[in-house]
Amino acid sequence: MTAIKEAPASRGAATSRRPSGVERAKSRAGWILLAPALIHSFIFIAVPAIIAVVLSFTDARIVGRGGFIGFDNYIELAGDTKFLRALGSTLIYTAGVVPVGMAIAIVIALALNQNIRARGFFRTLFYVPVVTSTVAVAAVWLWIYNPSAGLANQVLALFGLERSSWLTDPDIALPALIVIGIWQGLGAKMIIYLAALQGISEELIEAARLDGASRWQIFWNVTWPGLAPAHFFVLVTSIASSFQVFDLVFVTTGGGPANATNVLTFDIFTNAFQRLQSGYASAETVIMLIFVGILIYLGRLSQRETKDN
Amino acid sequence: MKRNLTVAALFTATAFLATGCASGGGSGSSDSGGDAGEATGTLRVVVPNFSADNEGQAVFQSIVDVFHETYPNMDVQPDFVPYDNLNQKISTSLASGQGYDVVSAGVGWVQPLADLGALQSLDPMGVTQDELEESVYPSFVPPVLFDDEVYAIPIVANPRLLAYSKSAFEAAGLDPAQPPKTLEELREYAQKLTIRDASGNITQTGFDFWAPPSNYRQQFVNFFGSLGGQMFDGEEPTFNTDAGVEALTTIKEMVSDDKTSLYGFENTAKTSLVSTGEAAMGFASPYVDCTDAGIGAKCDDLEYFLLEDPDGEPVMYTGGRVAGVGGDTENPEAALAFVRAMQDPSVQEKISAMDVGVPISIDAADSDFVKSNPASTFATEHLGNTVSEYGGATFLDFRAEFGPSLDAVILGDQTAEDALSALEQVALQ
Repeated sequence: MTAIKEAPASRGAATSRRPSGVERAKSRAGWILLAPALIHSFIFIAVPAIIAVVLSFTDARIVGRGGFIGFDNYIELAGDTKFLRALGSTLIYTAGVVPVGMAIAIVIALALNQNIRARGFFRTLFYVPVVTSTVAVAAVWLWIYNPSAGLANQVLALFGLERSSWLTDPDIALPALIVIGIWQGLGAKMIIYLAALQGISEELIEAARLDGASRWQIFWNVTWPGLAPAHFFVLVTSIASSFQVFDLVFVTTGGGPANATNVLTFDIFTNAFQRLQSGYASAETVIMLIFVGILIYLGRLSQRETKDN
Repeated sequence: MKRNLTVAALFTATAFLATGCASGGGSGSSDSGGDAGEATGTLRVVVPNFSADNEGQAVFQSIVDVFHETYPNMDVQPDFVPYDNLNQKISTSLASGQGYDVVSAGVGWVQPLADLGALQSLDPMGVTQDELEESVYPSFVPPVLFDDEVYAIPIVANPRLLAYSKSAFEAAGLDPAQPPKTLEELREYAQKLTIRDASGNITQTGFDFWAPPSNYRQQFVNFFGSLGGQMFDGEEPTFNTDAGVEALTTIKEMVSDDKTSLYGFENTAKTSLVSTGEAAMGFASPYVDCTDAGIGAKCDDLEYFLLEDPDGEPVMYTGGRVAGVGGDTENPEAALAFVRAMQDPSVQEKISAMDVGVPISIDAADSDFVKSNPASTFATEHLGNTVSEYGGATFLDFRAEFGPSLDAVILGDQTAEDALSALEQVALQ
């Protein structure tokens, strides 16, 4: 009891104490070590971000050549059906890739957390798409989705189903890309969940088992809460990468057919480098960043609620 | 301890920054002298659609060799890019203040790039409209003019021919000596020539548009031309007409209703299906290799034709490669010499063979290269009957919207009237 009462006083003393010479040297060394990374971040992240925001208020066709036009780009974007469709496609892509990918990744992580034969081989197998170049991945999927000789149509034919045009069908192209996105991101999500599963105390699971909990009850009441930090990390990184999907679209569909797979990053690319409208493209970029921020904030809120519960 | 930590940190930071600085590239300095033979420096050249393999390198080297006859001491630094990335290269080079000395591009790029300042007028350097009209086919001159001044020199024409298989015509009961002349006939022939298996899958395409998704632009321009239409009158869009609607609707009907070809389908080599025997009729390249290394005996089965406009004149879609002098170059004379080197007859032939084109110089009409294969001969004979895709300073804006908008009609998401009206608004911006 005495110790508890004395603790605040001793903390106060610690904060008011002047740092020793060694501590100051450590602090200085820390800043010096951090300096290259900070300089790098400032030059290559902060400055371009500021330039993008400034550019979004100009009519620049090329960076550095334009006049101030206030919010005109944003007003025009609000009525730009191509942009709104791209935003919708990006949200659909994210809504398809993130939750489904997370759910499948948890199932795979749970399976590969068991003592099964060739566990290391399977873990490696699921991780291979993550370390494979998206262009190579896209080339393989282009063959799979080839309307005349692709694997996907061969599988459909096995079941007597009609051939699909896949990436050249405006109704199918985006879902087809979502499937690739889920497959490609599975390994990264799986490995994070696997690490989180291995951090869950065996004693808690054992205690639940001794209390007569079923496998589902153990999963829902012990494993699932234990994965909460991993959920948040996977959610944030998945949303960010889903919004940034570009190379896959660039290689497989070029935003087509009829803009069906024209996601935000591809629309920004088209406006900046095909139409040469840098100011307009920058305004799109700012809006994309706001959307990513909102989604991540919502994920953070849900995380807080889970913690509170 | 304190000193050790600080020294170690300083060393690490210095090493990191030094590595970063050392990895940065530096562009070569340029120094143009008054005498071409004495001039030194580096000429930066951006060229689209030069393959990055040995063939592309060899063709580029042949240009450099001609250039070095005049400027022996100047280095040339090429930048090979696909057409889709050309704007990206040019815009980033301008933004960084390191614009290219020589810019090669498609005909549609000249006016937008001139407007942006990426190309400079060649008039002060003595290149005149009259000179071009005497040396190249007349239809290639207007696209290289901006504000009545010459901004680029045409190098190679890239026409799209129509071809058909004589044996497929016979098998379908059509007369191989009577190809279709109108869109109506073309559609009717395509229906007769399409062969499907029991499941309804196409085994012989009736008419191949030779277009990947979002790239039916040139085909539309050709069809529209056969109805007497031109895309632009100067900078004014002239495609939103009954003829434009009819041309676009015909493509939609052939692809989505008749299904005489599969939308956006290309073979793995991305060659025209009619030249490989996969289609009975369709768009084709202006260069065909009739040796055993190419399509060999299939050449004998191919016949070339063009649709005719309402006056009975044949109409052929033609794109083309041009080259101009960069707006910020410090070596305009050397840059112009490089452009002239690209115009050299032997270079035109090499670029044509690599980039499925034909030489654009009137003098090349009787050259061995043009006579070497039936496609080049046919294409060159009709370089006076062309329709093209270009249209003023906002053309790149328009081009980015053009293909996807046509797709929306072809796939039944939009009517031709709505799509062309929307495109007209883009062109008028």
